[in-house]
Amino acid sequence: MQSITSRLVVGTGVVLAVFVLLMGISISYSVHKRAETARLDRLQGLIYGILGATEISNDTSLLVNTLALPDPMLNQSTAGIYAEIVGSDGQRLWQSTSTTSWLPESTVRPIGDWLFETVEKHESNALHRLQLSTAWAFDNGEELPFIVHVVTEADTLAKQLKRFDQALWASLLVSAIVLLAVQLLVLRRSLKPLHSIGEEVAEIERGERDALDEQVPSELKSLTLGLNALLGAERERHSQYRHLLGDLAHNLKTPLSVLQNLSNSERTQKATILEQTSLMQQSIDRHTQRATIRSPRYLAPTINIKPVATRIAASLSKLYDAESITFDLSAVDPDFTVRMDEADLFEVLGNLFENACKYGARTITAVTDTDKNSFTILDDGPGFPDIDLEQLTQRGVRADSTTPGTGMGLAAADQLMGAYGGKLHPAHRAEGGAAITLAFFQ
Amino acid sequence: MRALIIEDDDALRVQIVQALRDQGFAIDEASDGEEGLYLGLNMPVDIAIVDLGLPGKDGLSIIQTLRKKDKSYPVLILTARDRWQDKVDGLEAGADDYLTKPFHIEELLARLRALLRRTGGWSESVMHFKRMSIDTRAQQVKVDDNLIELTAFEYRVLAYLATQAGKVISKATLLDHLYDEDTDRDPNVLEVFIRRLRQKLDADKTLNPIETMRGRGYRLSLDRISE
Repeated sequence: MQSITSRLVVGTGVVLAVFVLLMGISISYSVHKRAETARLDRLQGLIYGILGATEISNDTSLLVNTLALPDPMLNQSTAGIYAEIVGSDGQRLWQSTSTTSWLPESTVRPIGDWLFETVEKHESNALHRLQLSTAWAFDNGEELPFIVHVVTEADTLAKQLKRFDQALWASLLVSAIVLLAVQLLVLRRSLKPLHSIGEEVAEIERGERDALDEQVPSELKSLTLGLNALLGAERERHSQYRHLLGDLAHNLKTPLSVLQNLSNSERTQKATILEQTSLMQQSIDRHTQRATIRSPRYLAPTINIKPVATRIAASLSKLYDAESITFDLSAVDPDFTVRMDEADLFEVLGNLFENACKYGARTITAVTDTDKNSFTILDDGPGFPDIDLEQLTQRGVRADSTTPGTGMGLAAADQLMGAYGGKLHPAHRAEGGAAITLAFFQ
Repeated sequence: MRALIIEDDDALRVQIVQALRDQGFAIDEASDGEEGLYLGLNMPVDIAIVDLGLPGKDGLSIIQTLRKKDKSYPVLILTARDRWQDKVDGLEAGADDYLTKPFHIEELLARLRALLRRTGGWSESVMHFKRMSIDTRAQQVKVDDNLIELTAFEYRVLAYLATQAGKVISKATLLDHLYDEDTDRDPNVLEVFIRRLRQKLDADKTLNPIETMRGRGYRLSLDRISE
C-alpha cells in the first residue's frame, strides 16, 4: 500500500502544478490583454497628437509641424514607429521622418471611423496599424477629407511579451519547487510522531519497551492510549491464562490421581468418585470463569447499570423466595453508566447479589454515587466474618462455609472490576450486614 | 408426578430419565426441540427439564411458547452456559430455576423437589398436614410420628394428592400423572392402591386422609399446617 508521505507528496505536487499552471495562464492572459490595450491607447494618442500638429496652409494644403509631433521617435529613422497622412484620393500628404520602408495602403473609411488591423509585411515581421478617417472643416463649409494612420512593428510588443512570459514561468517554476520543498519539510515534521509510533511498536515487538510514549500530539493521543490499553489487557490476559492453566492442571492432578488409585477399593468407590469429580468440577468452574476474555477499559462500551441490576434482582427473586428477600434499587441513579462489557457487568452484579441472597440477607439495597462513580450493595445479612477484608477477594476464600459454593463469587467480581481499572471494596456495616462498593474506572 | 425431559445428549438424557423413574416420576422425553415442545403442550406435565442448546428449536423459545400457551408448570433449565446473562435470559423467558452442567443428579432431584414444593406453596422439603407429614427428600410418610411403610407406587399416589391438597383429582388425571404414556392403565388397579393406602394411613379409621368424591375422583382432605 502507498505510504502516507508519497500520497501527500503526489497530492500536493498535483495541486501545486495545477495551481501554478492556472496562475501562469491567468497572469499571462491579463498582461497580454493589458499590453494590447496600452498599445491601442498609445497609437490613438499618436494620431490625436499628429492631428494637433497639423495645420492648413493658405493654398489649403496640409502642413505638419514636426516639432509639435507628440513622439520624438516619429522623427527618428528605424525607430519602429511610423505615421503618415493620406488624402481621400490615396495621395500621400505627409509622412514621418521615421518612415523609411514600405507602409501598407490606407483604407478609405467613413469619416470618424477608426480601424485597427495587423498587416503582414512582405519581408518578415507583421505591422500593427491604426487609422482614423477624418476631415478638415473650412469656414466656408467645405471639407478636406484625409486619413491619418500610424504603424508600429508588431514584433516589438511580441518580443516584450515573450520575455515577460519567460520570466513569469521561470519564477513560477522556482516558486513551485521551493513550495514543494517546504511542503516536504512540513510533512516530514508532521509525520514524525507517526514514524516514532512505528519505531516504538517495533521496539515493543523486540521487547525493548513495554508501552508507547503517551507524550504525542493530541490527534494521536486516543490512538496511543487505546494501543497501550490493548497491550496492557493483552499482557494481563496472557498472565491470567498462564496462571489459571497452571492452577487448573495442578488442581486436576490430585483428584485424577485419587481416581487412578481407586481400583483396589470397591466399597467406597462411588462416594469417592463423586467427591473427586466434584472437586474437579469446582476447579474447572473456578478457573474457566476467571479465564473469560475481557475488553480493556478504554475499548469497553458504556452501559447503564440500573436495567442490568433490575433484571438480575428480578431473576434472583424468582430463584430465591421472593417473599422473604426484598431488593431496593430506588437509590440507583437511572442515568448511572459504566464502561464495561454487558456480560461482565451481569457477572459482577449477579455474583454479588447472589452472595447476598445466599448468605441470608432479607433486604438488599443498592446505591449509586455519581461523584465517586461507585455502586454500593448493602445487605442486612450476617455480614463478613471478622477477618482481613482484603482476603475476601482472594481466590477460593469464603466468608461462610455453610452455604454451597466455591468461594469464587467475590473474587471473580473483584478480578473483573480490576480488568476494567475499577476496584471492589468489601466493608462491614455499622448496623450489621455487608457493604460492597464497586468503584468504577473514571 | 409427570416430568418432561428435553435433552439432546442421549447418554445424559438416559441418566436423568433413569434417576427420575427411580424417584417415581412418570416420564416424557424428547431429544429435539420440536418434539419437546409438542410434548410440553399436549401432555399433562407437572415439571419440565429443558436443555438450552437443542436441535430443531432452542430451549428459550420452547419455554417462551409454553408460557404463552398458559402452561404454568415449573421449568428447570439445564445448560452448560454458566454466565449470569444467560441465567437472566433464561429466567426472564419463563424458567423457574437454572442448573449448569456438569451437575450431580442429586442436586437436580433436589431442585425438582423444591420446584414442585414451591408450586404447591410449600417452602420446606417436608409437607406437614394434620397428624400426617410427607418428607419429599427421604420419601417417607409419618402419621402421628409413626413411620408408615409404603410401596413406591403408593408413595407416588399420596405425594401427588398432597401437592394438590384440597383439590379434587379425577382418576384419569391421577393416572396421567403417575404412569408413562406407554404403560397399560387400569382404573380398577388405582382403586385397589387407594384402598390399601387408606388402610395403611388410617388403620383405626379416625383420620380419613383421602376422600372419594363419587364420580369425580379423589381429594386429600387433611388440613395443611403451615411451617
